[in-house]
Amino acid sequence: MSLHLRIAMIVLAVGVMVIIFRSVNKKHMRMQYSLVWILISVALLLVAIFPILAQWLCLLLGIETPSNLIFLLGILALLLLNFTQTGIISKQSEQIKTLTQALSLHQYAQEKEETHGDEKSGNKEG
Amino acid sequence: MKNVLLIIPAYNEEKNIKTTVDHVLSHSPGAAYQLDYIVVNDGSRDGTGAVCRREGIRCLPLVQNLGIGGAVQTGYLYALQNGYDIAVQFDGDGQHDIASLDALIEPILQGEVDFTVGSRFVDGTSDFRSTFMRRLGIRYLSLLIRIVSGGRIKDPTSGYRAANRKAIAFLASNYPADYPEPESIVALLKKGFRLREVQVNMFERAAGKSSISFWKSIYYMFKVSLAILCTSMQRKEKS
Repeated sequence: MSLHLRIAMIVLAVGVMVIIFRSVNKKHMRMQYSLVWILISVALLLVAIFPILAQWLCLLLGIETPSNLIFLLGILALLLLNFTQTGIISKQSEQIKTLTQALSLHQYAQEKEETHGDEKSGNKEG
Repeated sequence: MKNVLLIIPAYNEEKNIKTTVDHVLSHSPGAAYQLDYIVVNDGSRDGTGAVCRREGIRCLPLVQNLGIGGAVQTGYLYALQNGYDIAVQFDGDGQHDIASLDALIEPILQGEVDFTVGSRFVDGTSDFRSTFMRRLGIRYLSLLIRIVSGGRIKDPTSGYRAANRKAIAFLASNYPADYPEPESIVALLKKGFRLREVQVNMFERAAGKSSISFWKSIYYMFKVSLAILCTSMQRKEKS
């Protein structure tokens, strides 16, 4: 691994950590969701400081250069992250739908109570 | 005396909604049931809400747009909360003929089935004529449903349907978000509900554009096929 790549990785990792901690402190990001980003930047930092870790993993997996390993791991990590986020989005869409329905039904019931049936009703009352 | 609720979802239907509701009110139910309706205004951007207020139409406005599935499901939730015996889905754009209502709910009133689908193709007496491609798509979906669930439904995209209490309770908590009709049929069949198709009459759309354009139909077919396959993999409920 070239020195340039290592320096770039260290800068990136430290930058990401600073941004994450600031976001959590300002309540822009939940601690729960920040953990994975912190783990990624710690891993990046470790590999940049101790390239031997990457070289050892490369030997183990039969990958020619450490930079390829980092790209591979990076892509896998992003895919995983994206997958879990799709799950979170789906769950939240469902929750938002349920909330919208509950709120609309509640508002309608309340309004009906206040105005009491001068509406054009079905044949039931008509 | 059974209580029947018409669920009328409306999205940007300011031109059609009054005609639709007048059409509904022109129907006099027999002695067997009482008829109510509720328009579910799905966050329309046009004057649908204003028309409803001006005309005194009973309207449940959603606080934001949910799409057809979410709107119809809200209607089922309303039916459930207010103890209706039968809920009927009825389009807000004037396609469905209220004269077919009695035929549609008759098998449910008799307790023979849990859910009926109003079909244009059972005996071919409907006024509705659609394009060749559209018929082909419907045939394909019908075949797919038959393969995965064994149910014979000739018009699975029909939005003119009726549900009894049991089916209302199920649909109130399980209703697909977009293009929900074929998918919910498979879900109901899988859960052991008794379905029947009933011949109904439908009209051409009075005004406005159909919710499904040409390019969307490609996506529609793909999404619905996937949804049908997904739903069919759910475990069958032991009844």
